[in-house]
Amino acid sequence: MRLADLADPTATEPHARRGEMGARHLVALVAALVVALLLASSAPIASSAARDFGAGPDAWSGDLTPITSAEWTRARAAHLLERAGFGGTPEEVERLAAMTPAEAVAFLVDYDSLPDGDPTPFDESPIYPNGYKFRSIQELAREAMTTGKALGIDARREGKLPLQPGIDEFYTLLWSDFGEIARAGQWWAERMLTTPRPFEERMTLFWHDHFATSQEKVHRHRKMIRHVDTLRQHALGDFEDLLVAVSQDPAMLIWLDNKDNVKGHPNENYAREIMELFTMGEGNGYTEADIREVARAFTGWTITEDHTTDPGDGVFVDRAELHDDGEKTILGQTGDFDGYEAIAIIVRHPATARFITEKIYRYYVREELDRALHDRLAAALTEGGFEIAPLMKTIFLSRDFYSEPTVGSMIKSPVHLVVSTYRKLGLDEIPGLPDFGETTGSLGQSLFLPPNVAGWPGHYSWINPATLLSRGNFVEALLFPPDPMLIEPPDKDIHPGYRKIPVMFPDYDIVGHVWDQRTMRMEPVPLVLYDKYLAGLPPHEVFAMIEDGRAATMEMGESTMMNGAAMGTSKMAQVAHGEQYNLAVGVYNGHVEANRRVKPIPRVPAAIDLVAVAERYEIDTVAELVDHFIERFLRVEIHADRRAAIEQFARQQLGADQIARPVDDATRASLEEGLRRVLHLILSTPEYQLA
Amino acid sequence: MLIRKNPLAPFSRRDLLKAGAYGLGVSTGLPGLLTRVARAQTTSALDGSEKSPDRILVVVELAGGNDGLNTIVPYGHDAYYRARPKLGVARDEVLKLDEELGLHPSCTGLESLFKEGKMAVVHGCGYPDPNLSHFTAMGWWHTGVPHGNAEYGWLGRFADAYSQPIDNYIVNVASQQSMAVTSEMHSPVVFDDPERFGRFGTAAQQKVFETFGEVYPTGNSSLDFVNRVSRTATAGAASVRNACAEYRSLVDYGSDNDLTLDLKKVAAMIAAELPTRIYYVQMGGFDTHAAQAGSHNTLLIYMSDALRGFITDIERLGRGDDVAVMVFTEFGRRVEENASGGTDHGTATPMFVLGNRVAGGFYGQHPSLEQLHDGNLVMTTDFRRVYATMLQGFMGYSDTDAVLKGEYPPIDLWT
Repeated sequence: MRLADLADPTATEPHARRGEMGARHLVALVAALVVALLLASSAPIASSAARDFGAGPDAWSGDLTPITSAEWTRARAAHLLERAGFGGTPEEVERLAAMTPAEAVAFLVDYDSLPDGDPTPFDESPIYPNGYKFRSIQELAREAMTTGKALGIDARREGKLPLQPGIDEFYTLLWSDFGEIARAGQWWAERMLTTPRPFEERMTLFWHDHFATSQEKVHRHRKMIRHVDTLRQHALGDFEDLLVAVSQDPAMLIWLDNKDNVKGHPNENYAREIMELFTMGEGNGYTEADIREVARAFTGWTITEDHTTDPGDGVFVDRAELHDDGEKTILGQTGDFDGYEAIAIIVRHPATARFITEKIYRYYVREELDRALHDRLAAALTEGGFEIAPLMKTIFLSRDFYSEPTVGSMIKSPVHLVVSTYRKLGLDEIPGLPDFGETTGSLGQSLFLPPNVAGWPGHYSWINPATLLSRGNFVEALLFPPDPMLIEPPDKDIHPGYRKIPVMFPDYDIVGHVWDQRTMRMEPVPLVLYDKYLAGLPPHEVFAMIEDGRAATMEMGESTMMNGAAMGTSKMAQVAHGEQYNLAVGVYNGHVEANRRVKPIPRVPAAIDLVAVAERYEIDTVAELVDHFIERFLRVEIHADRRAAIEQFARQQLGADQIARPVDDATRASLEEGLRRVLHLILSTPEYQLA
Repeated sequence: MLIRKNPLAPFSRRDLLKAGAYGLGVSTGLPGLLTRVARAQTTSALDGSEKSPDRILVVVELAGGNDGLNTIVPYGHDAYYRARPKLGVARDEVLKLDEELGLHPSCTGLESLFKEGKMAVVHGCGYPDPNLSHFTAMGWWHTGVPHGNAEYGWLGRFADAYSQPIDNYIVNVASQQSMAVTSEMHSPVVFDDPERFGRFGTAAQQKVFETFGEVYPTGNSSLDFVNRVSRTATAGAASVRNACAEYRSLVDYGSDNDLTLDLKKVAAMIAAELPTRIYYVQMGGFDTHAAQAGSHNTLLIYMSDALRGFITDIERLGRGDDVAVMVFTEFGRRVEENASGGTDHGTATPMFVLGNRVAGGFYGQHPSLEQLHDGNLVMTTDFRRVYATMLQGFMGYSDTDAVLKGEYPPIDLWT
């Protein structure tokens, strides 16, 4: 195309005669040059035309036909990466966009051929210094009373509350496990963020939700980590293999009680849930009788666990002597079935293919599953021998996956929201501020801790007024972190209800402790000062008062905390007096000791440099800035009114419509803050919650 | 032990999840619902049939299955002590309310309420063919339709029938919205920490945040949903925050715990005269399978002191006649203690109704301690009757049959 053809595309008069280039034509020529350059570049254009997010024609809905290379766009690559991974930087999207759709899908799904990124193993805290010995409180109290020892320590002492040491250790182990599982959640998030195989982690997270096993009952973090590893190993293979592996997984054997399912005393919990929740779905073709028979088939599948020495490393064992090898009838078939055979029968029941394909579809595509499409997907899974990978490829390549009802229709789960935000920012580690577990937990999702065996209900239930506001506040905390030295880190915080226990029982001389961010230790604090801490004195001021000697001269004056606590808890104090041990005291002391044993999560703020982003992508105007953020982060367009308000804010914040290049550190810092404020607004929008 | 669900009622957990056991069904608030609103208006408070526009219902959920037998202790019955040789509350420790029944010694707060005539205990509440799974049972208490497939919560349906959508009409103090308040037309305000219930940012940013409260139909139903919740959040957050920040009470609620802190927030919002008519709070930890003596003891202190403090506080505010509290749990516990010093999931349970307008005392029949079903108490009162009691007798709404999807005559326990 010659430039002259572009010179005046809207002109109704004939082109200037050759040789006569008037000023008007010169201006038009320059304008055309600019337009041509902009069209040719990959930088986003500020335009009032609707931005393309990849939604295909209406007819694509319900159509499993693979999309073609001609239909493959950058927006669709971004949609795929968001749904099959955790989104990515513009470069990561472009890399996928440069492939054919089949190559792009294979790149994500056939991740075995990619390097695994050399994931770091979990760095355990030394939480079992006395060896791990599990006992219930009554058991250990009895043991302490008779032998003087329990849980590997001297559990009896002279003076008040003689059996307190054992109780303290009990709670120490309990809280340590919770602390360790929070660290494990962040460690897994780190893997989600940095892995070259994002779909591997998405699929593992999907199965974690599906098999919904919680540390809350399993207790030992090692078992939970190994459980998730099992899911990862079998995530895309034969679904039957995955079921067998899960059924033999120690965490699952504890969670749904199959370790107690023995001949003569069957426990039906696992048999019921494997059909109701993991394969066929409730009411879809099995009866109470089937549940009983399946339970018999699973008898004897248990774990080795020596409660006196095992820190949670129990392994699966198939005890033939505990197995009911009699004849059973399961889903219409009769035989002396064992667990393997029961699983084989269940998997082949038609309800299973339907249930699993529906679950996968509603997790990865959209909530509404067309009946005809469902039939086809179930057939594909069955005919494919229950291999998950081919099913996922079919889905990710389909026109239906890129149809209008699909694009931008899913609400991001808390984990997805946080990890994808970090991936799109190009971070290479999970920041320590805000705390990952606190953030996702307050939004309704804690890794390793699904609310119950049905998993996270997800979708619309992620969003209520509190969580919606919190999603925006997460961004604020990320972009404007507090000084790490001034915070009380959530992993070393003690719940407000328990924090007061030292002042509630002054007679027991419990030493109040506060976490010191400088020494990274729980430091003892005189009761008088601890009381002030409870009333709101920040930790760094507590330690300042100790260091400069003010604490030594403080008196127990008008201590509102202690008076209030004493008044309100006289009942509790009465209950506590004269006891061999006190549970509330154990709860507090256990927290303090657990905080000592569990490694602290480093409070490193996110390494974000938006000025560098603006420089790299040559963002010169407010409109370009907003466009860049929308294209990089969002999967639906922001409403025009909101966009206008954001642009107006940006102009006021940055001082002009042009984004001036910083000349020194001060202007750079000021520009950085301004850019962050704009990003904060964009990532707080309702639109940002959609994937 | 799980009791078999009724195989004739195809209750689907997945459908319950889909409908939002964890909180779907936010108000649409769009013009298309005008007919529904018009219908609501003819049966609602606004046509003058409402007994009192100032009535406020507070529902307290005890999650986990509170042990009713150790809360309202049948100390006059030997069968109780035979079943609970270790866990039974000793006769000389029980706070006696009559010759047969008394309160656990931790419940001094409830005892004073009972003696003041402000506490009604309804015995043996449950429903036919009870379910012993936390998830299922609690789901049914939330929807008010056991063995059924209801899309919204009982309080949500009540709010829809009683009033056109009003901002802040329902407040659920929690981090997760309860199914009980999930409603077709009302968007419950859900929050846990009032100080964090808002958008942190500069003054200039707050102006932009206001645009997040507008609802624009977009053709993307998921985005429409988020926009509607955003509207509720934007409208509700400021009033909730201000109410909680300004509130000072001199009343002693006992030690700080989740229930105390939440009831204080409720008192703050009542003091600030928010238009809220339904408050919903939760307290967990009642699933006392092991070492119950210690944990239940503490839980009851917290619960009892918190309720006593709240009622006193509301009276201090001059709203004693306007507020009533209903306390429930998803099931009681087995009559016999287990081998771990605790009790396992059970069935029938007492419910409590508290407030100035209550005619205190015992209502209904205490379940037999000897004629059990599979070791569990047999219910004597359908829990939906207590729901009807609150909605008709206190809130003044007559068409509870529609809301509760059946006929459940209220119990006359009001003065």
